[in-house]
Amino acid sequence: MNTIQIILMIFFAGAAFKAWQRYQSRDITFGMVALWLIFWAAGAWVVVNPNGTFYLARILGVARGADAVMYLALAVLFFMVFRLLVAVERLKKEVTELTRELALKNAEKK
Amino acid sequence: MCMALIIIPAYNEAKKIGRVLRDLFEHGFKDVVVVDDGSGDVTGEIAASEGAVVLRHALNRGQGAALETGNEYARRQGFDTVVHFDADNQHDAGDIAPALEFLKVGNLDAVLGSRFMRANRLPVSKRLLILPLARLINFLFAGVKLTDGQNGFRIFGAAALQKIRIEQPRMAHNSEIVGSLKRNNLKFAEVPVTVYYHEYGQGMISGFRVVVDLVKSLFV
Repeated sequence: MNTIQIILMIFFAGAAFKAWQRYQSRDITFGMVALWLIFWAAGAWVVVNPNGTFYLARILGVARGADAVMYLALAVLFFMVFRLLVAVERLKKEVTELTRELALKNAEKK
Repeated sequence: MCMALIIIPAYNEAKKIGRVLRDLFEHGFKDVVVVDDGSGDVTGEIAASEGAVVLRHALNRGQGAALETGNEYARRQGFDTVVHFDADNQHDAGDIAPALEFLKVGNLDAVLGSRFMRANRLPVSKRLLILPLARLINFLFAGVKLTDGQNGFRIFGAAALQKIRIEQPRMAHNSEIVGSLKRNNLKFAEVPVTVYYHEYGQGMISGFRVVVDLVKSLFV
């Protein structure tokens, strides 16, 4: 195992542990922690078996396994950023609605 | 009998809100609500001491959000007309009665104030650059040509008040409202209003944020 593989494995193990901790403290659901554990396990598998991505590359029609992983990682990242943006916008909207309702309720009390 | 509520969204306007309210009361408007949008100063306290109803946002949510809070208050209290009026003493309370009359006589659902239909003294960069850009943005996003795309003075009649919900929390609500009026087939027209410039008001950066908010609203 070379240095980058060791660094990545430590990072993935740490990330998986964090996800598990967040599940134990009831911050995320079982479905969510399962998704994250599968995601980090898949990452670890690719790090340990870099040649294993060859099959993935062949299925996708990409020349190299590393390229296939990069393309997929980028697509997943963009999708997650989009999901985050939507979630943030929804939260902002809910905060506004809560603020409004509080203001109106306080006015009714007077 | 038309029941009009004057709605003033205010954020850190302690220096000016008192004068604005006294002016409105002197013009005979009794129903005035100030939406204190999380001010860090004593805007809300001054407004309450002057006799206005004060709705206080615990957090600053933006002018569009404050206006919608005022609109919702009007719906719950049974008002059939609302007047949106700025807190920074830019508008003239004397413009309200003629605009209400214009709404009634024209059988309109909404009236939008325009500073270009009357000889107002505007900063040159606003007249030549920012406001023409604002008109273009309004046309692109709302599909409506107005002489003044970003004026805080407007009146909603009963139908507009019931049908329009302001979703844009910050300054993009101007274009959003015009778009909603058009989508709901509501009858509206512009009316000349006076605007006094004490300070510069919205600049280029604020205008840029409006565009960002409008583009963002197309996707999320």
